[in-house]
Amino acid sequence: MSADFTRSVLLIGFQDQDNLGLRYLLSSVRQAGFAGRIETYTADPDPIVALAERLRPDVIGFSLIFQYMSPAFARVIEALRVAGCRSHITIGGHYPSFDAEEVLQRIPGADSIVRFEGERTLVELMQTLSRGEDWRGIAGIAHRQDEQIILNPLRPVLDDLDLLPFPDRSDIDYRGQDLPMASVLGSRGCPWDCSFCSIRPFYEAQGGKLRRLRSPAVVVEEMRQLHFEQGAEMFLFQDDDFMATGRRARRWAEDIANGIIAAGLKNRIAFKISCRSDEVHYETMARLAEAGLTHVYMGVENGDDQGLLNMNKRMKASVHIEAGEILRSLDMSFDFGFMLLEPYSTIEIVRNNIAFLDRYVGDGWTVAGFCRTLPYAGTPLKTQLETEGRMLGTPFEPDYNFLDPKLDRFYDWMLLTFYERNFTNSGLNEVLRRLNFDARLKLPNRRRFQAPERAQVRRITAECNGHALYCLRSALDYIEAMPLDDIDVRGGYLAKLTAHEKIQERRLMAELDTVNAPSFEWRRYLESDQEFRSLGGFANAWTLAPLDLPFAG
Amino acid sequence: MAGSLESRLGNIEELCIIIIIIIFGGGGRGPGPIGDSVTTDTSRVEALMRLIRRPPIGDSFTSDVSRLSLEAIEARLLEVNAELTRMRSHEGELNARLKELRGNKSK
Repeated sequence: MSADFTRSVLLIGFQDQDNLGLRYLLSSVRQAGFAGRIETYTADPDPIVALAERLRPDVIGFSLIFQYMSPAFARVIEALRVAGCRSHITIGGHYPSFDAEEVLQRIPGADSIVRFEGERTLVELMQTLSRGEDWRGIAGIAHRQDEQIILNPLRPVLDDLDLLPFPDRSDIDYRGQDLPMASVLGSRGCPWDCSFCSIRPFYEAQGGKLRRLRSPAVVVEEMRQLHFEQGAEMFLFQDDDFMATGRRARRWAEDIANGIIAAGLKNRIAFKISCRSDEVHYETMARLAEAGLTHVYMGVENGDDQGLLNMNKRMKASVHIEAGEILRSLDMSFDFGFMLLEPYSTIEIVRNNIAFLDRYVGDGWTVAGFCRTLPYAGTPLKTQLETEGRMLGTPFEPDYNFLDPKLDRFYDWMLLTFYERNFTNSGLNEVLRRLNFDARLKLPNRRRFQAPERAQVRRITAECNGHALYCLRSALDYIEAMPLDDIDVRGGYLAKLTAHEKIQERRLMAELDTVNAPSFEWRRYLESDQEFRSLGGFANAWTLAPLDLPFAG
Repeated sequence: MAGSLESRLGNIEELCIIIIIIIFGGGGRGPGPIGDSVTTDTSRVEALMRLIRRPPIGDSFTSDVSRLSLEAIEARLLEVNAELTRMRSHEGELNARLKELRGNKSK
């Protein structure tokens, strides 16, 4: 492959939820006069190598979302180099921004890292390369110099997000989707400083406001275009925290709701947001619901006050319960992130978490999923565990032990028992999330779930939650009572609990086949091969990479 | 009817009822075979059954828990909980449907 700079960029990444990060990059480089396209990442390097040989782009940019996927990306980049690719290869995303040295050392085929917010850095990289000038001084870049990794000074964040062109979606056929679902972004950043999260450190690194808002009118205009020109019906707001924080944020959210109504989108579209429980206020949610809000994702994370304190969540568990009640009263579907275990968990906290889940969603309004906290790059938690000498694993796959070794046994059993349920696309957790989402989706020209259908889904969800929580509680009681050395997570009573959970899951899965859900997607799901069931459009609503998961940790 | 009812009651429940009747004056008719008086007062039996939250129907537990092995208790608990979870979920479904139907009626 020879050098043939055609002033173009090939951006490669996962396409979940439109991957707005890549699409903002693409629109920015196109606005600057360059050509570009987006290609879906594949673990098999051959399609990417073939495409690179055909297009011969100036730059190939990889969007590395999942930390544990770094070795797989490294293999693709190595294959490109072996095939003779001479394009400038750069990598962006949260993980490489924080851990640029590690990534460049372990992925020798990469030339640079575009750190943190990348639009203007990538454009400058393209411009510099096309002029044939030295790119190593560009702000926001990390690169190798001799044996050293150089982190250039960062550039300030873009204050006014309205200056960004709309993300480039020219290759997306929304009308061809079962449920035309587009991602939009109303803001970037989050002011909260939860210990497990890298969002605040990500934007804090470049200075500027911790949360920047787009103008409601601009957001609504993008939605209007997406609906009337491209057929999008469901909108997923990808904001780190749509409601952060206080009255100003509520006014902003209500302005978006008012704008949606004024633009004639009411009763034509539906949308989803993500926020914290303590930001769920009835009046604002009611206004958003009037504009089409049907689903809320909440970062609940823990149901014990001490556990929440450990995570620096700055709220009480009772607030989660109140938020759930508000959303139920508005007939909205919701789901939530929950970390049953975190590095400072005690058996008592875990027990309280299980009891909380029962109180929170024991009624089957939504399915209870759960995992453990992982100390990802850039998080205060990682720094804390490093300080305490507790970090294990590798930079790409961080790990730790719990303070109470019995909880390590409990977690091992939990993974064995609930991996399929909680962390696979065909697992009961994901399937029920989909159904509960569909059950309260209100869109024109789509038959809605009837009351008995909704009641059936809710009953199955309640059962699913009930069995899982019973098994968790029983396993914890057992592990607490037994001497550590006598705990066999694969045998005896714990194995019986695992088998019991699996039997209940299989029974409920079989029962799901009798649900007469009105969506086309659901029928297609039921008709598909049991072993290869996937979730159509709904899968795009949440990021769940294949084999993602706590196993990475 | 009375005999049938008696046969369905577990010993402990029967004992509870007897004690409650004594405490609340159920034995106020004077000395005599206390056991017999329980089943003659149907309305009182029903009230007491509500009090101890077990209706006078269904099979009583016949297994002697004290003689069950640890493994047998574990296995039985799994079965019991699975059934309880199913019934609670079904109760939720029925309540939701009831609320819906009553709501429609009131409109």
